[in-house]
Amino acid sequence: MPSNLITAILYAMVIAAVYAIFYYLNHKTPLPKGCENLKVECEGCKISSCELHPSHNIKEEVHG
Amino acid sequence: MSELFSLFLAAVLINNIVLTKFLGICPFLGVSKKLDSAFGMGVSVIFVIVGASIMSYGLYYLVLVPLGIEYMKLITFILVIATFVQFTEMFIKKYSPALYKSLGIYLPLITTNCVVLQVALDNISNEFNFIEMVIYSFAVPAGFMMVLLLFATIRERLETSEIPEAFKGNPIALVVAAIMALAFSAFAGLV
Amino acid sequence: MDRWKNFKSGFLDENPVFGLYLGICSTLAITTTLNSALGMGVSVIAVLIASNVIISALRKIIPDEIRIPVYIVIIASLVTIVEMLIHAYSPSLYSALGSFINLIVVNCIIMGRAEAFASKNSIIDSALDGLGMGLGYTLSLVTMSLIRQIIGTGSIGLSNPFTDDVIFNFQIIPTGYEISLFKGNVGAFLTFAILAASLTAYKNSKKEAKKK
Repeated sequence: MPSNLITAILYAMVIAAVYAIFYYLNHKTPLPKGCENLKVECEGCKISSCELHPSHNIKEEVHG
Repeated sequence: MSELFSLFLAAVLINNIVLTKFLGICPFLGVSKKLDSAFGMGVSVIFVIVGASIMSYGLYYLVLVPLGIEYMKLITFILVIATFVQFTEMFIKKYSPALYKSLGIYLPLITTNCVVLQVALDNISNEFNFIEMVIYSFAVPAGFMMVLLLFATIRERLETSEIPEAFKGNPIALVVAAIMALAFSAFAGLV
Repeated sequence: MDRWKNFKSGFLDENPVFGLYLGICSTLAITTTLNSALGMGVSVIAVLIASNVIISALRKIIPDEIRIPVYIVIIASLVTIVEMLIHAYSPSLYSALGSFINLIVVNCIIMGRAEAFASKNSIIDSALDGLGMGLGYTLSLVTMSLIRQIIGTGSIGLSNPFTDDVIFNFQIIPTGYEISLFKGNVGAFLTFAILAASLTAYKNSKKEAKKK
């Protein structure tokens, strides 16, 4: 049980790190030209973890 | 061969992921207001589910089972799906702006979509082999897209009808979904 | 006073299920019986409070750019633990809820509250907010399951999930007169639509009263 748990935690950290790296890289790649105002079209739902949700825009303004 | 075909048909019509299993309702209600956005959403979902399912399946049988940590499958699958979506979005942003315009904006929404995670989990619990897994992973989002397109056409018509004030928006959409579920229940017993 | 108002808003004004349409997938599927509704509600409350507290405690340490990945890892670990606990201590609840326990991870409510509230407020406020939203969610589930079970099967019953003892079981509508449509998927959509419309009507009437 103990050795298995350590493997599991290490494994979780590895894939979480991979995801974090990809998320960060994606965050840094700029939108292609002409696509910046596409976000307005999506008015559907209140799923705030979706990046298109308006709540994300406020944070970006504060950070400058 | 006929088994694969009945697997496909069952996933699309009889056990339709939206009308029978109640998954994917959030984007279903949010994106189905116009036919174009419904189409974009549908194609994105098919692509993400097929890709993420193959990766999850591979990771489960090649890493989790040999290491004996099958209980990590939930964490693994959700992270694999999220990583795949990020990678796809990055790829499309860099190499195909036209594709990004039509499909890319729906990709972040699919990360927390119930359908993707459920298909990945189903592939394991149903103990499919590789071919069955690919067919199932294609059939389920195809069924989702079909219902989404039908729903979008109905909703476009609903815009010009007289609806009671309390029902406007999502409640009447759910009533339409109820009627569609009733219609689709006629498919039970097809295979 | 602000805390109490925030707590109350999770019940009616900002009801996560019928007002904000979050977590619909599990609502439609789980509410066939009162037992599964309560079981799911309690699990969601547990995960919601735990995730809110952890994220609020770590909010100063998590770098802003990768906060979504961190939230996902925390919530996924919590759900895995809850699933294993349910599997061990209550097999009947586990088979009733099926794979919807796993889908708590992508339940929009938990992610939404983590993002909107827990990342910006203190631990106590976040825990209370989690409790309020969770109770509002559970109340909505219970309401819907009561309607569906009474009309669909005619009886109402509750059993202890840990020991499978029946706590009570009444037959309200005699067998043969129930509308079994409400037990299946069509009834789920219909009940949900009617409840959502009622909430909208209530909110509209309040707005009208305010205008006057």
